[in-house]
Amino acid sequence: MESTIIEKLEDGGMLVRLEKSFYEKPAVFAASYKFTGQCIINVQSVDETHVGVFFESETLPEEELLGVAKRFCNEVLDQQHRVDLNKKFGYLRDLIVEHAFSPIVNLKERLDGK
Amino acid sequence: MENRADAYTLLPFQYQRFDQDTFLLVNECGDYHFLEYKDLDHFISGRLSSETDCFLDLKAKHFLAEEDLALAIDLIANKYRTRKGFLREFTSLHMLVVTLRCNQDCEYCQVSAESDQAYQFDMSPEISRRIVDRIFEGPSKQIKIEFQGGEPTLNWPAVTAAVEHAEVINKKTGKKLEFVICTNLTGIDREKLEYCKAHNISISTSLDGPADVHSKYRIMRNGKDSYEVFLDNLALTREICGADSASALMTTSSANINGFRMVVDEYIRLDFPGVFFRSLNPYGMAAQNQEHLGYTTEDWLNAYSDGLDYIIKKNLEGVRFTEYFTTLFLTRILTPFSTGFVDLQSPTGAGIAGAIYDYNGDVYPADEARMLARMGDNHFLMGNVMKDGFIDIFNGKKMRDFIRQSNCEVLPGCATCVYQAYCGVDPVRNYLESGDIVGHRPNSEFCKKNMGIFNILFTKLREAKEDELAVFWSWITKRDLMEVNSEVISG
Repeated sequence: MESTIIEKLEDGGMLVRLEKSFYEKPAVFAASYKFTGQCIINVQSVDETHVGVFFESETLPEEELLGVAKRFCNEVLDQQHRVDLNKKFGYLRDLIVEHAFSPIVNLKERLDGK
Repeated sequence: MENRADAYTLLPFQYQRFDQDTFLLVNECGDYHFLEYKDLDHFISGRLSSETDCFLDLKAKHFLAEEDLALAIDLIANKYRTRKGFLREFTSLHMLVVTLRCNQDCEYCQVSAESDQAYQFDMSPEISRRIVDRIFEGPSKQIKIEFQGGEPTLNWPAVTAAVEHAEVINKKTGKKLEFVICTNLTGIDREKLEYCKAHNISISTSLDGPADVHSKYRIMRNGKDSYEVFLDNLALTREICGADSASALMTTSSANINGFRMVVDEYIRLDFPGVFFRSLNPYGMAAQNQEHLGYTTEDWLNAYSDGLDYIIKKNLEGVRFTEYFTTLFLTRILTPFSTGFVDLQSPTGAGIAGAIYDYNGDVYPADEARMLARMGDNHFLMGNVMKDGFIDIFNGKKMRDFIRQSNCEVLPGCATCVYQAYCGVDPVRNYLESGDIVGHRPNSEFCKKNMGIFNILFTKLREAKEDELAVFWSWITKRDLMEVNSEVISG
């Protein structure tokens, strides 16, 4: 069955278009990195509102490369979720490490004034 | 049921889908929790009712806080500091390669040992004493000096010089001082063993399995059978130094990859209290002979899993026997305490938790870095004890550089890994595999192996069989299984 979210390119590569309003750079990069052991990945802006993730391989057959691109779609969703979560508690992570090695005297005030 | 949006604060955690319906969550201080998808969804969207068991569990484990956020942060920071305790102690394990000579010519030797006549690769007593001077310049209150080789018993004067010099210095400094000698036991004799006993030198040796397995790749240069000599000298060691004086670890090769159970049986038959399942590292002869010695990481993980199950079964049958590698992982997962194992530290334990001194006084952050140097790459050389002081070596640019680049918390692929709190960084292995210290996680065998072990152990923790958990706790706490079980029963 043809994929509706992944574009097959003439040179045998695959393209996943991601909406910039939904996906942020750290999520796209983190997800891409996970697949760099399997194929060549290129990330570039394809128009004002979309970023394109290009998958290319000299060894993987087309079907397998398509599978990689599909798994990427789930992975980038997961990574964006982590980025969103980190916005909620990332500042606490920094505080924990700081407080562990250099105890913060006014911790409550720092938390209140985050 | 009351929904209390924004009534609690999410505390930092990593997560991963564990199976179809379940997610594993691990927080900054290493507490973990399995959560059904629907609960995870409610939890992160602020809709988890405070009246549910799930809420109470997550609060108790520091995944969320209510009005007590400062207290929660304080508690997590305390646990975090405890987990990173190895940083406070700084370098306490110091390994001295007193000679590269070896009386064995093992096909999987990771350091490419020299022949037993190559005396130019012996450490002089002067260098040995100078290393001890440098060690005692360090801040650590606990010092473990480990003698390695080659076969360290072949250069006994360097061993005794270090031991006696350290003992003299320690009369003034009063540090906790330990000695270990890593020996194949085939070059040891009564006189050396009596010295070990007199100076409290622990003995660490190697046993790969029954006779045919052990002798297959561990080949004596004098033509004798390495297993027979090993057995004779093990008996002598126990006679002189005590029944529990020698511990052993095994090296996995193609000879025993499909027979971890027989390895365990052999260890039990020889009255060893446990085994350390160790995979082959791709250095020296092990790398050269990879084709007939080697196996895949997946093969090793299968063997490990099978061996672990077998050891658990033995324990449940009443045989007290520990798998030490698993114990290290479990201690990191189930307790807040720091473990000394260099490979599972972040920042890397290389240089911070341990350092190795080559026969000529060169200092490296890890044994693997020295092995790499033997392969012609001195990338990790930190200095030499004859011309550099402790501060020059351990606070130098090189060490700072690779430690700065060796933190799970920020490395690509590790930064969002659910096992980050338990895992570590091996910059030397990264460098060997990828050409740089940061490494490439998608192709990393080190990552694949550690992830595999964590998956195996967390599957067991998820199943939570009481008898298996009791075995695990008996290993972590070094107590008898009956004693642990009685505590479980009495609540």
